[in-house]
Amino acid sequence: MTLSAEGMSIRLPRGWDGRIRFAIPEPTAALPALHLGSPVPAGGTANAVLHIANFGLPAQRGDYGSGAVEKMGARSVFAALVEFDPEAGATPLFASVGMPRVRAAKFGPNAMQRVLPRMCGAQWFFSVTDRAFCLYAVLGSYALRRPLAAVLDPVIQTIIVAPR
Amino acid sequence: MTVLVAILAVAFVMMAVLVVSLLRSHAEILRALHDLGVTLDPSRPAGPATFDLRERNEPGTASASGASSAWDESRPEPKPGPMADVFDLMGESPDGEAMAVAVGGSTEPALLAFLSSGCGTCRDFWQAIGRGETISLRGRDARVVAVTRGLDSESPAAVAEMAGPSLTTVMSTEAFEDYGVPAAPYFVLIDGDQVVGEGTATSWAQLRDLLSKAVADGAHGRTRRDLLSGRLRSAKVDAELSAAGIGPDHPSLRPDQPA
Repeated sequence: MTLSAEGMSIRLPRGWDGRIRFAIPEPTAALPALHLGSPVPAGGTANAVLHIANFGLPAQRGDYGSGAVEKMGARSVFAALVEFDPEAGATPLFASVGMPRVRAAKFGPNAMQRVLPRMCGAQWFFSVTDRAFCLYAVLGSYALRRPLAAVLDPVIQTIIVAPR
Repeated sequence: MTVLVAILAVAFVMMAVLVVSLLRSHAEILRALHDLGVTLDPSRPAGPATFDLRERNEPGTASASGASSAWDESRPEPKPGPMADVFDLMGESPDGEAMAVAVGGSTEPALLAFLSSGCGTCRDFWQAIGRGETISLRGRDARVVAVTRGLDSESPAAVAEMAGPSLTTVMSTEAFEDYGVPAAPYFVLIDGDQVVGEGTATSWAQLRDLLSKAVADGAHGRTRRDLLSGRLRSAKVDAELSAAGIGPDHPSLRPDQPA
């Protein structure tokens, strides 16, 4: 099945969940010195976020998968494609162009946002059609990283990003 | 005089109670008809028809009771029932997230709860699944997914209020049509690539009982949908006619056509 929204689409294999949402950062209190008076978004902007997994995604998840990765088994994979502000695309961090290939060698336990036993993660920064993205992927088992990366990569390659 | 006033007051109160009860009953009937996709307002188009389990008269012909058909001729024909096929869910969450929810091909059973934000019976089920109730299938807890009709029929705010933030809730009219859901509440239990039980209930205990019986029936090679649709009986009749040399083109089946 094909999931599309916010100028992104992905073809999901049978048994995979997917979600696309507009990330609206939780408002946070402005620093007292700024005297803004009202809460401001933590990230300052709202952008598209895509989540995919070969297990049932819970309703409540953080942009980088908190709430979902804790439910992963050894054969589970999860990926988050998080868009950044368009201006970020001009910075060296996003100089790589095109969807990255998900290779096992890139994964490590310490690349996870929060280290979880036996699991591993990886992230890539890149731009597509002048839109800046971070792809963050988590595999349920570091020992099985080769077959799991081989499962995730072809799904990631089906992502199509339209220009803004 | 006081007694007379008291009697009149009691009579007035009883009449008021009677009128309120009648109005409430009328509202419930209208709501049930609405849930079934029937509208009594000629200026509004009828909602989608999803009764796939029964035979329908040809448009404009008389119904079995002899009265003219209540179905609007312009009403679209419902899609054929899925006959136990499993469809993944595509739709939107109440807060606008685009969703693809896989229910087939998973090692985890799935319980699809087709609910509405407006029906009184559904309220109990929203509360039950909201507090984590589920159905166990051979020792495995089913993943519960609430499904409501899409934005064309439901208010996202009302659905969000019923579902709460932690329940996976898909708003998808297409899912109601795919699964041939007659009216909410309706439940479909899926294991692997198969519907193993389905039906409606008025309480969680009744639902649990219904689905356990459906699973037991399935173990004997008969699904509830097979029984409701008469598919098993149709297959048996076809086999017996075929054994007697009577096929679909046999003249005896079309007495109005010349031999």
